[in-house]
Amino acid sequence: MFKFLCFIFLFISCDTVEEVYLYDKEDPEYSTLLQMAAQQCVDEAKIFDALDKMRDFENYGFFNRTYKISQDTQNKTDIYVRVTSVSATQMELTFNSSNNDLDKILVFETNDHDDLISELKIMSCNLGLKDHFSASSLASDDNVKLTWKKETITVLDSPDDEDDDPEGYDRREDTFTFDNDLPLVFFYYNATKTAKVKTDEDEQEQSSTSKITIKDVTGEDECNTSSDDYNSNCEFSSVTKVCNIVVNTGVYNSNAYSDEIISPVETGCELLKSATL
Amino acid sequence: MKIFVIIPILFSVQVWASDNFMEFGNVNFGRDFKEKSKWIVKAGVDYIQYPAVLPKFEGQHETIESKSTDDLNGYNLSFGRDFYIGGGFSTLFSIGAQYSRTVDKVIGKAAEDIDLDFSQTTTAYQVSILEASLAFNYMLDYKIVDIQPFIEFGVGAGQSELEKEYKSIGLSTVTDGDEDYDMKVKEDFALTRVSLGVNLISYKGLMSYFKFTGISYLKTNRETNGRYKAYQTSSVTEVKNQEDDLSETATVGMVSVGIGRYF
Repeated sequence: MFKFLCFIFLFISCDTVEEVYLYDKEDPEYSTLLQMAAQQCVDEAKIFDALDKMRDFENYGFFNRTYKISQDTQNKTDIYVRVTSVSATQMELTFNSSNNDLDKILVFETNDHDDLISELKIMSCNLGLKDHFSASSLASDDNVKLTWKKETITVLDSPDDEDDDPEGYDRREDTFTFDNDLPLVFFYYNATKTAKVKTDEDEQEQSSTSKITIKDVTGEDECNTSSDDYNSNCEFSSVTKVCNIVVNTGVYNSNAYSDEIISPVETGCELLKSATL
Repeated sequence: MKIFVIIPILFSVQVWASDNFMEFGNVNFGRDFKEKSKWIVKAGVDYIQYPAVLPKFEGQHETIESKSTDDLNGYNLSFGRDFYIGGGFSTLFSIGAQYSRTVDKVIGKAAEDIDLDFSQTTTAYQVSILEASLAFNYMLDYKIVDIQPFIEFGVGAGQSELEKEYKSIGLSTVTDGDEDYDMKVKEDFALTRVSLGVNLISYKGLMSYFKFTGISYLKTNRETNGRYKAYQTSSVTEVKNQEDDLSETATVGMVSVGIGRYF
């Protein structure tokens, strides 16, 4: 019919492209197709290969670089971080700030790096998770943004109303940037985090957005002891507390308000003061 | 793109029709031109059927029949001499060319909510025809526009090239579940046709036409080259086949519209 219409309107020789759907959700092949689509997404994304190259801790060039993490809203804090050692299997990142709770030597291993990329692939490409995760710029070979929507319902939906929405909830939307100019663990600090809280039916929703940025300050005046702008927190020799992290594999199945992709292993280690409500 | 070829041609018709252009035929444009012999050039578009012959293939998401009829869009250009017989009757002898090119693509998405190109079928045609025709016309004389029914007989020869491709990536859980079919068929043919139609002719000799045509193809040669890999097989079958001195016939239809100019 389309070709006949082409003919009628004299747009002769116009090419036609038609799309058809081969399967639907009820078909037994559906779950296999989801896996295939995820695999194709991973295969076509350039960013995963770019991030994978950072696994070569010894040669990638992070050693002795210094970064400043800044949180712009509540719990305003500037944290200085230096990559103080690298080996074939791990790197140590020393954190120092005006808040001693955040000072630590964070051990980031190649296994953690691998786990992070595995989780990122699943969260970015699995269509079954698209209600909670979305990724942009997967074709980039520089960075990728991952948005994660989480929710914990505190008061169930009242049967009296028809809005189909819980009466009380804690919701969070985190957008992380995984950048191949920064050690992969810094995704946690290269982020915007928005919290929305509603305590009960009669309360208004409260929201708060925290933007966390990370900047390479290697060689900057603030880390130069002979400069007038020197910041004494850009000094790392006094930090001794060692903290390891774990990648919470499979956390994408939970999506609770307090879920995180990485967590400190040891008690007393803290990644960042929460800026959420 | 092709429309940019046609438009200058149609404008050229106007130029040819201008006063005394090359003095082709010594015809005065006006109401009395129709009782004289005259030249004509016509251009139009065709909605044409073509009988395809391909190696049969039954895929999971596409079945390619050994014989099928496909629809093509094309365009034509003809030039001829209309000989006035008398009493409103005339015969038109003309020669013309026709070219059709059509590409159809069907993309099989995995599912409505899964953006995965699972299969793709592409059908690409090019058909070229040269022909001579003889038409018998009868003019119905009206004040503004003359109506001229006609019956037309034509003979010609041509070539076609058909490329058919089908690919399916197959389910990852099925060993050798992928499919591939890539075939190119070139044919030489002769044709005869009969058309019934009507010309609408304006005072100035500008005309338009509409016609239905029955075409009988006589295929004489066919060359088939390609390969295919069937579902759950690991081997690829090569096809290379040359058929000469064929005498296959098939009758199909065509609809055409166009415009022209008497001069």
